[in-house]
Amino acid sequence: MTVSVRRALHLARVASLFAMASATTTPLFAQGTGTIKGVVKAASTNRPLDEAQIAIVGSLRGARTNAAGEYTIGGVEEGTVQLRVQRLGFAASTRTVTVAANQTLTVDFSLNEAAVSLEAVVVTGTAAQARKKEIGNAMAAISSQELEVAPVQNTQDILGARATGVTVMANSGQPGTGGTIRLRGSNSISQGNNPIIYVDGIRIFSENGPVGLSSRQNSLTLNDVKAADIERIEVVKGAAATTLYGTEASGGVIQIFTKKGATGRPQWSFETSQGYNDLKDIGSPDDPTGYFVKQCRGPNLVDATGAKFVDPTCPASGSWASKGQVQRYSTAVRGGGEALTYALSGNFANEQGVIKPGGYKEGGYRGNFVFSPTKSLLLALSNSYQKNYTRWIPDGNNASGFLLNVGRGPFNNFKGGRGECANITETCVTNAYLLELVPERRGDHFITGLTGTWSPNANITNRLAVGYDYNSNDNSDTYPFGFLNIPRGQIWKQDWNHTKLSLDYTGSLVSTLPLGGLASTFAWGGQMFEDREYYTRVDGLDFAGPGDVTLASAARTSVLGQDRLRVITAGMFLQEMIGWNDRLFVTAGLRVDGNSAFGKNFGLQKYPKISASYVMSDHDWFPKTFVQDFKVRAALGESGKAPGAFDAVRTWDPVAGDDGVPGFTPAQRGNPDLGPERTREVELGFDVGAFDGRLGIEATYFDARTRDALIPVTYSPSEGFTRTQLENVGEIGNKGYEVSINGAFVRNATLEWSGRLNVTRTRSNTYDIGSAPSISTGLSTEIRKGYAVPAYYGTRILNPDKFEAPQLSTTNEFLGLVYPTRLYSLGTSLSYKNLLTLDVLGEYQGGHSLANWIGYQNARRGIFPLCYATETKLRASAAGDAFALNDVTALQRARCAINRAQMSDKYFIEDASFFKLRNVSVTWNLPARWIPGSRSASLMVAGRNLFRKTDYLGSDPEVADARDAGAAIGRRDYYNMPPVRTFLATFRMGF
Amino acid sequence: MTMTTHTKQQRVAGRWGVAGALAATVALAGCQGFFDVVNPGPLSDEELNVPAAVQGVVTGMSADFSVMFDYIVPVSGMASDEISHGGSYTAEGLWVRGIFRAEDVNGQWANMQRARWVAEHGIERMKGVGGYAFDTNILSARAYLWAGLANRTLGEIACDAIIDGGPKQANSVYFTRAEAHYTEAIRIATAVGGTAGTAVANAAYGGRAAAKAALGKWAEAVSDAQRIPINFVYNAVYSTNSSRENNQFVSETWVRREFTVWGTRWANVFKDPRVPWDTVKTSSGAIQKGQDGKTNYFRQRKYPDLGAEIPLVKGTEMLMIRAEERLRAGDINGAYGHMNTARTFYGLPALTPAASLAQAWTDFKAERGATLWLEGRRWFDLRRWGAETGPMNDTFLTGRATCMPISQNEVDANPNLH
Repeated sequence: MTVSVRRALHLARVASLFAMASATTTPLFAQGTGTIKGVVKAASTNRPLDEAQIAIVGSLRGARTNAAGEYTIGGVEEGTVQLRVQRLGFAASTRTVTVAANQTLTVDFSLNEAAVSLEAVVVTGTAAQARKKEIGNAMAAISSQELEVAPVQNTQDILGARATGVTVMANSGQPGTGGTIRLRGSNSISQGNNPIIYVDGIRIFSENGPVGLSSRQNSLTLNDVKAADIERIEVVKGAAATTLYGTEASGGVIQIFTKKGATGRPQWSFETSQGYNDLKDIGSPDDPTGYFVKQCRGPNLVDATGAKFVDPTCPASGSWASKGQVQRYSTAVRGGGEALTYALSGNFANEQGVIKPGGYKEGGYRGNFVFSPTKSLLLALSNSYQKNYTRWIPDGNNASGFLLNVGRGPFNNFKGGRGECANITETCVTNAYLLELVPERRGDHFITGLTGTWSPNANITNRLAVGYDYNSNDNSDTYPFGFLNIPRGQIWKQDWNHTKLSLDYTGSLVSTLPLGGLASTFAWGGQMFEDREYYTRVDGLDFAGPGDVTLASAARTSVLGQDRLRVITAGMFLQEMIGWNDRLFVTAGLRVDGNSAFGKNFGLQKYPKISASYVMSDHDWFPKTFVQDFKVRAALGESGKAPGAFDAVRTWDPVAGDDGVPGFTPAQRGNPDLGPERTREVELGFDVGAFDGRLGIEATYFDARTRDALIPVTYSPSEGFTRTQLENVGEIGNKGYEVSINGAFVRNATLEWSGRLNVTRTRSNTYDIGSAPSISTGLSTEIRKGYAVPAYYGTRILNPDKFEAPQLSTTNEFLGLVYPTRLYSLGTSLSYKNLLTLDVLGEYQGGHSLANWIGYQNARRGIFPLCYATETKLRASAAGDAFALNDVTALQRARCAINRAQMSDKYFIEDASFFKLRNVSVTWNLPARWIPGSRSASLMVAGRNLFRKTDYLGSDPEVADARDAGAAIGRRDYYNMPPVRTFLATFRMGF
Repeated sequence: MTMTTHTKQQRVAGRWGVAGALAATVALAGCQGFFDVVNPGPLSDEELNVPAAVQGVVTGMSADFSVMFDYIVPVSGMASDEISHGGSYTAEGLWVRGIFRAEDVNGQWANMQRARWVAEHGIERMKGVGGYAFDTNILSARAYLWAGLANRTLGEIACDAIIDGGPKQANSVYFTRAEAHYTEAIRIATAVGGTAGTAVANAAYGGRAAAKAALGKWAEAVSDAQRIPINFVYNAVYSTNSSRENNQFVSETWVRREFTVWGTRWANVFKDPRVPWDTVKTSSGAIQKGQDGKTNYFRQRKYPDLGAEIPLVKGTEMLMIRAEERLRAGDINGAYGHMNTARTFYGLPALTPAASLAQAWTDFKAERGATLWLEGRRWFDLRRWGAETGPMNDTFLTGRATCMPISQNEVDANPNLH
């Protein structure tokens, strides 16, 4: 037999195996086996629970419940087995059952709600599967239940306010915009602080993609995983928990688990949301014009002197803002046999912004397959593809930006129009023409991962995952032929794609030790990631005529830049966990990493960790009258961040000179000793479950210190290299505490009322930045020893609230923090007979500031409405009115100075604390009989961002101009559109 | 976690796991080449040490000079009333009022120093490139010329001299270095000869004339200056070939309206081909405002497109050096002779020699100012005249910055300045 024939026969066998598995519910390994089936319900309400995981302890066998709470596990060897069922928000339950050959055993579960479940199995940061009681660090988990009542605009919104230590800032209200996510603050000055993201065990690209040139914003890959597909999210936040992820993990890890199939007949679900976006809050309530966005016609269109201006291109409604329709659709089918389960879903959304023609469209699908060819082997294939199109409006720090031009009133850049201003004597602006600029983003995101899990016996597990993440952005900004300010037109193109190929192996061995009560879980593994990035920027000028254009339509083109980067990171780890009597667990591990961006003189990096967890409530002596679960934990660990691909070597950039002749210019100074920065964190905490699962408290103190921090060091410019060079010279830290309290106030068959409070306090500090007195991180922010990372600095008004002339500091002083130090969220849920559910969630972020450049730039031009009254008084004073300034504070006088030369942007670094009512929803579970053929149906009416309270005077305290910030960590509000209010009606149906 | 006792199978598997992990560790530690990644784009330093790279090294000198000089022109211009600010940039709003703070000039200082370092460092590199005939190649002469011009710019703009992270020195150090570089450029260019050699030699003579004048060696300056034909011009090169090659000053005055002639003394100069500017009207017929929305926008027309080149050495500048040397000697007629030669070249009527030395200096300053308008030179002229006494004294810079301070980045990063 030839090799090819043997291979063909083998393939045929595999194919027939797969076909048999997917076509029938007959077990593949049926001899001497039985079946277990049942229903999982909530104990208090008796409602069926979907997405509950049922596992046969010590094997790969298991199932998930469908929407009716049903599960089936076939092919269970006859004999006694332990069944464990778990679901987020409920206490895990384990039951021992005996299975007889060729028999079907019915085992129903009734799960108790539990604010804290120490038996729940988690996987993120733990190498192998671990129960929550075994891990020494805090872990946040967000369930699909929470997602269903949240009218989120995108997936990033899920994270905000639902877990401690997680900061989500929206950056912009334009549909399709990605936000900023921070887990426990900033642990890196130069290398980004985005958490790394896993989807079903496959790592995806999680850094910032290209920022649109005119939109001034970018997207977030996280948002390509659709909320309707998510089963749960695990978040581990600090280096103590992320050590096994090694280099790049100091920003924390977010792992998303998408919904898998459940054994049984196909179950379909359909969901649609209809509603609209609405501009409610922009700027201060004291400015009814909302920077002339909400009012673009009428008597309020005046400058500080009362001079009128008009915009004949203002929409007929008198406002630039209008309701933007939101439509979302998704459908899914889940089912399968005992050997193969599947979950397929598709989605489509079309969302208009509040400024037309801004909007966002996306569509995609997901297919998850789990295949059990033998009882010791599990193969899981996850695929998803998401395609999106964003039509931005030009925004931010951009001469053609919408808010920049509209907000500046008579000082805009679009005047004269195309004849509209004839016979108009006032200043005439024509802002509609800026909307002819077309900033677009076309994105494609494909994720595929194949995971094989082989467990030759109850104690050994091997897991191998191969993943590929493909991200592509095709951005263009087109000034069409005839554009008011660029009559011959222009096009900017950005073609970017990033791929991440990953190989991830983990093995684990569970065993008892020959000492009383001791057990061991030993884990080992390795990962390899190859990142490739291609990024081309091209500019084209001067079109011959109107029409849709390409780069080839331009008379002149120039390549602005091209990057082709490849970075390899590989590492391996060993971890040993010793358990004592299933109540004390000590874990020690070591991660070893290499990276192609490390300097030549730099070797492999080692990141150690150690943690302990002690479940005191498992002792007999522990009084369980009120507190049933009590665990204390401690963890110490390290993780890191690698430098960029070229940071370690001295390089020269190819450039052109002498009219197109190739030449070289200094690029990177280089440092062969460059290595990663290392974040070491200690974490202490406790978990409490009390009053029979009605109260759960998780409290954590953390103290992270980043040593060898990669800091951009400025060398003497007279030494030729003008760019900064990364050096491992700094030391920064972050400490704080997180408290999460979940309580069920009422829980019976008629009424359920629960509440949750999350409190996070962080304090950042800089311990060392080398020899420089400060490091600029852009946008008026700096890093200074003894201060937070980063903070605003500049001239300070020493007597802001006094009714006198401003007194100014003579040196640049601390003016405020860039990121919040206080995060509070409060939510409550009230359910009546499982028919009607009210869910409310509010969030407060505080302790930070934001540079309000709308206020500054407008005040400089005498077009800041909040300065009009002060300017009038300043003029009266200048004219001799001795009492005009009696009620004008020093801060008002400085901000609104008539002598514009006395103004400073530093006077507009404002407190950005805010409270927002993130969501309010009412869900009505419709009786299934109302819709023939349906299994379940619900109708939800919800609102997002319904209320805002802040003293911040700029656009919104959450916004930032992403292009301004670049790779730095400074933030600035430079005419960026604020987050919008959204109303949605959502109908869900299962059949 | 389920606990059981060890079986033989488990022990074997466990050992294999540990062995596998250890093997992976050894493999990772031993195969550093695994992490050797070659990324395209930037070139390593060593790759420039070959004869074929010399052309690129010298082009890089020219390119970095041009990148620096197109913004030195408005900076110097605002400091010396050649052009005003009607835009939205913050630092420029201070510069136009004669306020120069160390923290505002980081970019300009770095670009000037890079232009100098790239040229001087490149010359040393070229000397060591095997197979490259340093003393007989025109590229070497051009490299010296760029080193001289970069030092001249620093000398005329900066208050103090810093060389390669060294201590603070008098700014005359730049002129001394420039003179030496020009001399080498002349030596090699003369040896090469031909059209290319003559052009570089003329530029080097012209540059050296200005450097010597700055050092007070007027007789030697005249000796060099009189070698240059009146129609000779050596430019900083700009191009529409790529955005980095664009003349940024044009971008800020034609694409944006950041700088305006309005409000300067030159707004009262009409129909002078050396000082071309115009006004722009909006569709409603009003005078276009600058980027700040309030300042009248008078557009410079000396550089009308993004590829417009900026003169660095001109035959007419040499006439101004010779005229100034005459005035310093009290020879009014001799000075007007040179000035009128230049005026005739530009198609302007001759000036009648003034009766007084004071008036002659006033006329001369206007002539030199017009001849070198928006070429980045007038700030230094006003600075050196302000330091003089007698009729040549000039008071425009009184109460204003006379030069650019050492940048804050240099102050912070250079240990010799602490």
